[in-house]
Amino acid sequence: MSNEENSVQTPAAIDASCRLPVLLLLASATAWLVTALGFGLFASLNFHAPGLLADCPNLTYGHRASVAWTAMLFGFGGNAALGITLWMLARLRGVNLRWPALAALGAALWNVGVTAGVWGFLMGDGTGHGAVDIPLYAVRVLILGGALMAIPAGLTYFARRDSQLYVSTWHLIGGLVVLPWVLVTIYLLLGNESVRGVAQATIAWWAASSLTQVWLGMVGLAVVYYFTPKILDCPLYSRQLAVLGFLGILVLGGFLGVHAGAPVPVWIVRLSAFAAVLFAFPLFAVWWNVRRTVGIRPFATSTDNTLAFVGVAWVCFLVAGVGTVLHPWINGQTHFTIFESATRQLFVFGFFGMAATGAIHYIVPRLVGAEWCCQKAFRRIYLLAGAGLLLYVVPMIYGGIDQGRVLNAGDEYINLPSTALMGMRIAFLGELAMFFAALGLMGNVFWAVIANCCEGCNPVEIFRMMKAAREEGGTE
Amino acid sequence: MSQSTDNMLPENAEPTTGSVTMPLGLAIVFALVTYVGCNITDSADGGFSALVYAPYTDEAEISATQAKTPRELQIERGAALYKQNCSNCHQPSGGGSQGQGAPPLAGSEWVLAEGPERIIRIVNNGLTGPIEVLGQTWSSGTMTPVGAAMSDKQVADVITYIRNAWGNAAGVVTPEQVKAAREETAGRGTKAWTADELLQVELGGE
Amino acid sequence: MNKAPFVLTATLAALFLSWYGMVWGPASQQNDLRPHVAGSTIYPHDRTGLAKQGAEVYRANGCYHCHSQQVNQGPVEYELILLGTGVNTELLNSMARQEVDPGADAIDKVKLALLIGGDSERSEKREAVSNAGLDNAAKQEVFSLAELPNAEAQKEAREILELDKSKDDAAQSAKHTLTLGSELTWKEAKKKVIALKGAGAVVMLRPYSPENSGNSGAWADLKRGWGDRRSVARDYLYDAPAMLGSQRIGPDLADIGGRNADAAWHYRHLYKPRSETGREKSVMPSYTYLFNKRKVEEGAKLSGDAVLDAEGNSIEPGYEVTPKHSARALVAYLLSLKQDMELPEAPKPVIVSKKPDEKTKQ
Repeated sequence: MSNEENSVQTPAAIDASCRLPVLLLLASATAWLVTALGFGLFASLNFHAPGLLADCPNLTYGHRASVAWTAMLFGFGGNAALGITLWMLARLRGVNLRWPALAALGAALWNVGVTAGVWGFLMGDGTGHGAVDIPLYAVRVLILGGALMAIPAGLTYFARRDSQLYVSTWHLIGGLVVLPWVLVTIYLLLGNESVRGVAQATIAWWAASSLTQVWLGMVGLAVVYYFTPKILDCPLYSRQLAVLGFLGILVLGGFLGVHAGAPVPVWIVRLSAFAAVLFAFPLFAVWWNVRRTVGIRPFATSTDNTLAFVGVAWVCFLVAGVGTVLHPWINGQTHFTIFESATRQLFVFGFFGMAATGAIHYIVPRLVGAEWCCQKAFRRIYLLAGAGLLLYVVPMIYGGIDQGRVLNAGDEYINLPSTALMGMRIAFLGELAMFFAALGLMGNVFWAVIANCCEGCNPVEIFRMMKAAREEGGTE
Repeated sequence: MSQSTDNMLPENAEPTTGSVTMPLGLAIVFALVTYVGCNITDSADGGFSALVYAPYTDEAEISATQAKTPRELQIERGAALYKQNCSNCHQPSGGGSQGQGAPPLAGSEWVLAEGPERIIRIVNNGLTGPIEVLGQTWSSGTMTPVGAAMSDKQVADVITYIRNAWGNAAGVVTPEQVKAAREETAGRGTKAWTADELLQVELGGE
Repeated sequence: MNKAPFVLTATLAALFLSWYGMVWGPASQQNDLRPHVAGSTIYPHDRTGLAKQGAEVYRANGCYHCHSQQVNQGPVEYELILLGTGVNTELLNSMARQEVDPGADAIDKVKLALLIGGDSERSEKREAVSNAGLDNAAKQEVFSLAELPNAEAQKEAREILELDKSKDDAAQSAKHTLTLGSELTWKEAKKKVIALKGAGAVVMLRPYSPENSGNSGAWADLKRGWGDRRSVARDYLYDAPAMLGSQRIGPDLADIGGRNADAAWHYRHLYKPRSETGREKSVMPSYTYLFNKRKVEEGAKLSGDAVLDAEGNSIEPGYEVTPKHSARALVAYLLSLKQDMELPEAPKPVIVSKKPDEKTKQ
């Protein structure tokens, strides 16, 4: 590589270098978010009309639930995390993205993989491994697509020699390492006959926890650590605290989430509980670090949309994190209940989703070279998503706690208790709000891409031309 | 590709980090919690055994919790006797030994017979001459009267063990049965049995 | 210094920890587990035939999203029971006399005397009665009963010791056991167990659920009859995948074949989950596509495997509903879900609190 290529590039040149793959990833992410929330709504319908689609073997509740989660994790989470990683790595290293065409190919493959997974679920090919039940043939494509994106990311990362790397860079690298590690483990071990019985379940817990807490957690925190100081134009409070948070999440993340009654040897349960307690330290580090950076100015008063989204993400991370730390004490009542769905959504949509939306809000205009056509729309997306999240999480947590109380009473348990059902009904409205927020986000992103990048097919231009033509015709 | 450089959106410089060090208190608390947590975890992790499950905390607790019926106790005692007196020829696995002319006990029709009368006599007085076990004729070895030096109870224990070990599943043998058999054959002295003689003996039900 | 490779190495090392603890460790440990062999029974078995295909139906339809397959169990308390006396009877004697409440009634003391016959005077007496024509097992008892003060106490002791009963195993163990303590936690029991074992005695701890447990929730599964003991790893040895589940939108199915083996009920439930009293509010989807539906004449004879309602009429009036192969497989799988065998690592605890008289269906 020439010296010129290795010297610091202007932000504009870097943006130009990663336009194709990152736009592809971010736009698909929003589409998958709509798909995920749509299928989530579709699945929830079953609680209100349980006889729905009883004659359709492809659209059972289980299939819809699997699709919703996989579209959320690999579709939205995967695309958004990888898109953010490629862009932010290039920006933080100050060099152009290497081999963007290869990354774009990888992005396309990744989406093929997720689509294959979703299709596989509808055909009944889910593997049954809890939260990572995506068919293994889809995982194979994901590994390939991920590898094609990891090569440009790695080359970009190693393009320069620096004595200091910004905090977000480590987090992005952490995410880049954990993703293939987990995918390869799923692919090699969950389909392997020599991994027997509950070891499969343990691996599935590790994989799910690593993908959410570590992978999405790393990228989400990279976003928080990057945009907060950048937009406020002040340095991040402490590098050492960030190290504690970074290593803490990397080490502990995979251990989290084993419940006390699980049919696994007690040491696994104990280790997981220990990890959950220690998780308080990285959690504290993240809180304190961002708190001191932001100072007394709360995120909410900022007029900057990116900062607003990042602020919600940070709060969700903290709330979900407190739930994680308390898990050893509360899981006796909350495990097996809709409480778990609520906290998972709080982390994936509330923390990662909001962080990614903030990032998308910042990145996309720079890639397409024009500001959003409608800033107000983002305020509405922000309010809708926030309200939806509250409306989803709070009733589900309340209903889940009551469901746990009924489950623990030791009486006959046939139906969901009415409080849980009522919680789900209110949460349905929340899901609806989140769905519309996602639709709004997708609409804005696609509009920005189409309006600014497709010169021949710019719908605004076409509309203007049509209008002009009609007016001409009218005057004749 | 060049249009974005032309309409560059305004933005601040890339972020930097402050150099505030980790609060000493946090480091101390972290070290303390880790130390105490390790101790608490270690006190109830079952020694990382695959066979200890919550709420049990160690293997000793699991083994002390096992209900032992008199039969299980008898088998346990018999296993110790077998190891001392029998396993040299018949092998710990009960598979027998060609070299020593000891037929297998695992799966043997003589051991698993409906009643224990014949096997009691073999243990008490020994055996000589050819015997057919599991379709194979064994003629090279002679069995010593290992049971002669044992009490009724010990003979009952060891026979109960061989009738229930290595996948064998037959009934228990009581000291009374052994005593009765000894009284019946009292006139015989220490003369070893032959297979043909044994076949004349009633098996005796349970 | 170029920090880029350093960060990458640190990341790899940090991730390796949880991978080693949660992936490699459990996988290699489970790989070494063997089925439990007790006499001629081996547990668990691999599923065969229809039930194995049923596991695929269960997986493919995503049943694991709403049903867990794992029975939970809370902390136990123990009864310390003396089964055999061992060699060091003097030590045992002094220990046992401390353990047994001095105010305990005569029967307990008799039991103690029966178990501890160590001193020389007793063996002489035993020698003397050995010619009395009694069978061996009864001698000890008769001898010790004679020490009781009056005939009434002797009669009572005979009844409690079940001397008049046959010689089956249960009576034998009733005669030869003595409860040394109850409502012990493991920490309390541990000391005594170690001391007693040191004296060569055979002791056992019988686990049961504490009546007023602060952790009553953990006992809910067993109280409700979802299983007789907690689920452990060996129950899933041949499950691929092991669908432990994480939600209880519906009931736990770990022992469904043990608590409801009525195949006809399962067909009915899969076809019309809300057809029964008490289940009108169930949110379980109907799986009608697992069944064939055929219009039949009113009053026509239905085929033998037709799905019937609780009254014995066709579940769908005017139609004959028969299970497809997949429904048969699924039900065979459900009936194969049994965790009934006691395993050494999961003793069946005695539930002290009330247990439902009739085990609840599904």
